[in-house]
This record gives sequence, C-alpha cells and structure tokens, in this order.
Amino acid sequence: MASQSEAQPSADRVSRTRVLWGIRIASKLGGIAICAAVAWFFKRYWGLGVFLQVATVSIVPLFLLGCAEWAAGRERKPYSGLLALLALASFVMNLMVLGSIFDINSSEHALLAWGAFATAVAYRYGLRWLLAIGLLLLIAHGALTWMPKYWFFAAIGAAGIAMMVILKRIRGRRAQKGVLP
Amino acid sequence: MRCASVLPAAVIVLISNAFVLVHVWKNRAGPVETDITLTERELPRDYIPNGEDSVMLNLRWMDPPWTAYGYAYNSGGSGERPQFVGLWLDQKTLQELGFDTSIAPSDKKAFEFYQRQRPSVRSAFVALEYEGPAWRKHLEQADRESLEHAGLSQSNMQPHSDESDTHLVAVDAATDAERLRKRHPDRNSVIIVPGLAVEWFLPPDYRLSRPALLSGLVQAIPASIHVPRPFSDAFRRLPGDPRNAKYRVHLRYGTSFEPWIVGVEFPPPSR
Repeated sequence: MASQSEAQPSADRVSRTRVLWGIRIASKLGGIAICAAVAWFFKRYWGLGVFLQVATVSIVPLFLLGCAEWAAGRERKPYSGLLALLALASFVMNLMVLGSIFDINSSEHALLAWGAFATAVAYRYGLRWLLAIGLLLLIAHGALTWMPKYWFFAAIGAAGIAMMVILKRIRGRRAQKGVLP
Repeated sequence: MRCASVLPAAVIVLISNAFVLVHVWKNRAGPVETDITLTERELPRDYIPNGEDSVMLNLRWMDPPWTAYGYAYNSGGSGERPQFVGLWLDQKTLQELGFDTSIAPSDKKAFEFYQRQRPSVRSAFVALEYEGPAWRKHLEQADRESLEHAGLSQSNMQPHSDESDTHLVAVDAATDAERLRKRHPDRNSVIIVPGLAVEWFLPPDYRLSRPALLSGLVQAIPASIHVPRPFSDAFRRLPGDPRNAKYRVHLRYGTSFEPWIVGVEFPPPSR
C-alpha cells in the first residue's frame, strides 16, 4: 500500500508533464498557423498602392509588438508569446514584401535584422524558443557573410545540434534541482 | 531574462524599413544604369494563383545558341560533328569569375578535375543584349537549320518562332559591372544584371568530336519584376487569356542594378 501511494504522485506528475507538452506543442502549431495566415494576408492584398502597401507592412509588426506588450502587462504570457511570434512573422513578411515590390536583390543582411529582432523580443518576454530562432538567424547571417556558401548548411546543422544539446543539459540540471516538472 | 524595454525591437523594425527605403531611393535617384523597352517575349506575365492580386513579369533571356545549350542544336541533322563549340565566356573571363581552368579540356584528368570543382556556380554581372548582333546570329542560324530540316518529315525540331522567342541574349560576364559597361556602352539595348554563371566540362560524344569547357547563365537577379499600380490595373483588366496579351514595358535599372517599371503600353485591339 505504501509503495502504491508513493507511486501515485509520480504517475500524476508524468501525465501532467505530458499534458503540458501537448499544450505547448499545440500552441506552437497554432502560432505557426496564424503566421501562415498573416503571410497569406499580405500576399492576398498585394494589389494595394505602393504607399499604402509600404505603410501597412511596416506598421503591422509594430502594432503586434504593441499588442504583445499589452498582453505582457496583464500577465498573460501565452498570449504575449504568441503575439511576439506573430510580430516576428510579420516583420519577416515586411522585409520580403518591400524586397518584392521594389525588386531589391536579395541580401543576407535581412537575416541580421530578423535575428536581432527575434533576440530582442525573446529577451523582453523571456521566450527561450524565440531566442533559439533569433540565434539561429544570426548564425545563418554570419555563415552566409563570412563563410563560403556551401558551408552554410553544415554550420546551421552544427549550430542546431549544439543548441539542442545545451538546452537538454540546462533542462536536465533544472529537473535535478526540481525547478522543472 | 526579461529586459526593461520593448524599444530595441521597435527600433530594429524602424531602422530596417528606413534602410530599405533609402536603398530604393538611392537606386532610383542616381544616374540611370539602363533604360530599355522590352516586350511580352522578354517579360512574360507570371502565373497568378487564384486569389492573388500581384502582377509579376519574369525576365526571360537565352544563352547564345552557339554555346552550351545550343551545341546539340547546332550539330543539326546533317550527321556532321562540330569541330568547335564556341565559348560564351572565354578562359580568361572564367578565371576572372573565379573558376579554375588550369587544366585543358583535352587533358586526361580534365573530367575528374572539373567534376570536383566547387562551387560550379559563381556570382557575376552579366550583359544581356536586346536585338543585337547575338540575336541576329541566332536568327541566321535558326533559318539555316530550318532550311536543312525542311526535307525531313519526321524531324523533332521545333520551328523557329520570332513571335515567342525572347530577343534578349546573354553575351558577356564580369565580376566588375563598370568594366562590363565599358565593353557594352549602349544603355538602351544592353542590360547589366547580377546573375549566376556556371561552367561545366563536356566530354566528347556522338555530337561532339573533342572535349569542351562550357559556360552559361543560370539565373539573372531579380528573376521577376513587380508591376506597380497603375500599370498592374491595366494587366488585370485585360480580356481573354492574359498569357496571350501583347505589351511593351519601359524598364529602368538604377545604380544598384535593380529594375523598376516606368511605363507599359498595350497595342490597340485589332478589329
């Protein structure tokens, strides 16, 4: 009986962890779906006048950033995280749309802007996954700028693996200390 | 991990947008690099998926037909093997672009050497000539070919079509755009664009009597050109299949070799 009662909380904890991960994965997938919707929105209303188009694509990331700030002020972290992701997606679309309507030759420096933005937003709202995205974008920019192009994918792969190992170690240490479930 | 302000992120957005707009202004406010009028042959309208408002035109060019892509075509149906395959880019230009051409194509090690060379694609500035000597040479060649094949009933050759073929031919390449412009000074018929040049080794086969080192243009940048309002409205109003529309596009390239459309003309409908 004693061993059963000891085992019970552990099983609850495992199932709670699974549910938490399920919610996290579902919310990330939802975030990606909303980002895709934002991208399609920009593409669908391409036929606006140039001034209106430039104004729209420039204001949307700032507006979403404001919304994220508003949500964070009300202690609604899941919403602020989602809005931060949307702000990043709309900033990516912002530069892509400008590049397309003005026929600008593509440049790797866009990765620097996106990476810096993602990193700044990640630090603001304490979002580790957004920090990972930002760092990957910055690494990609460095690789494209300083390395021959054919090393690019190798560098990205190595950086991704290194980041996964580091995150796993941090998670392991925190789990040992009882910080994480 | 939280920091005090959201300001850095907002500043990044503002600086990035300002940077892009200043770049566009500098491209268009400086001296015009190229001022040219092209037709629907060189700038066919992009396929438009349902529900999208954008109007884009794709830049179409051809490599000189007497080089890489044209070599099989040039050999024709006469059964003769060409003794010489012309190079679009000579050995000196290929070296200037960064290709290693230290081993002659006739060398035994050439095949392995050129197979292993990385990257096989290099960034370069490319000169695209509109209705110039290269295009006329192509026409003469195509006419000669069609005469040769006139008697062959089962010929697979496509008839030459002056109506649909692009008249824009890639004629030269260099790493320095200014040097390339000096070699092709006519700003109304030669476009200088950033692009990707490729070289490859071709071993002898039934069409080619000796090995050759070939080169070509694989991509001109930007590959498609956005049509802004009010010109895009005229495209949207076109009756019938938009792919059959006839038009002339007045195009300019600025100091950053980026194009913009300054006019579109549609011929009056024929009765």
